[in-house]
Amino acid sequence: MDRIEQNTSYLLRFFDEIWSQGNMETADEICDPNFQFILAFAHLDGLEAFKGLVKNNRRIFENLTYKTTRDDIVTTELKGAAFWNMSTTKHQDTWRNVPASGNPVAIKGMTFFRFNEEGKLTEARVQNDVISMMKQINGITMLYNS
Amino acid sequence: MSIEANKAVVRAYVDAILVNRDFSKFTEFTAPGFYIDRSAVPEAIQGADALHSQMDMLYGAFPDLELKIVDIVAEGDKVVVRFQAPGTHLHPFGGIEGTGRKAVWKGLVMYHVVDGKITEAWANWDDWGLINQLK
Repeated sequence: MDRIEQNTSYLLRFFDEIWSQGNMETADEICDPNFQFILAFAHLDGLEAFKGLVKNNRRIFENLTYKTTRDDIVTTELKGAAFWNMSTTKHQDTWRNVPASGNPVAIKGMTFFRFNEEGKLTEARVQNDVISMMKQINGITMLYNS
Repeated sequence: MSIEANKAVVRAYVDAILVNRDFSKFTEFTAPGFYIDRSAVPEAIQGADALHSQMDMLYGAFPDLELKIVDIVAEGDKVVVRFQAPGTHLHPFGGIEGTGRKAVWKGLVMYHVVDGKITEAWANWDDWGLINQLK
């Protein structure tokens, strides 16, 4: 498998095995220990912090599922990007100060990745539709009322 | 078209259309039927006029907006751009009156380039983060 095929495979596994299945062995296998996960509102410094976020979000959002396909992924030797769909059947605990709504949620997003020379993921910068997310969990008014 | 040529088309489109808002060049970079899927908005931005009014609204609110490509990756017929756009919020945006605050809008956009023209784009811009910076 050449490097670009491997990178593409890693991005598919990043969403399927880590986020959708909660498989932390995959995180250890494909991410660098100093992996940086950068969201619009948070910066997780290091792989352990990222794994903690995944575990937490999978607890808060029932059946958390991220879907992407080969057609939604772009990779080179040291960079990559993926367009994805996220869904959950129930928002069942507090997220970003918004109490459990019990609502299902579905949003789209995109992530820009970097790989190191060894082929491990070192960085992921995420942009997703937080406003739609907040609308779906009844959190949108908090932004304007706070 | 090569990957480098596709990247060049996207860079030229960003410079001419999004930064300089020279819509006389719109068809130079985009194919008929070009649209932008913005996940935050239910309906896609379709055609030059719709995009022009969006950009005018944005630059109206942030007159010194500096839309910059900070990273780019491409494979096959797709090009993904990471944008940063710092600007000063002087006029209404998203229902918020001008605050005079400096804010940075960030986004990721995937462009589909066919035969030297952009056919579609999927955009994720951090509207939530931008509004939070204006509060």
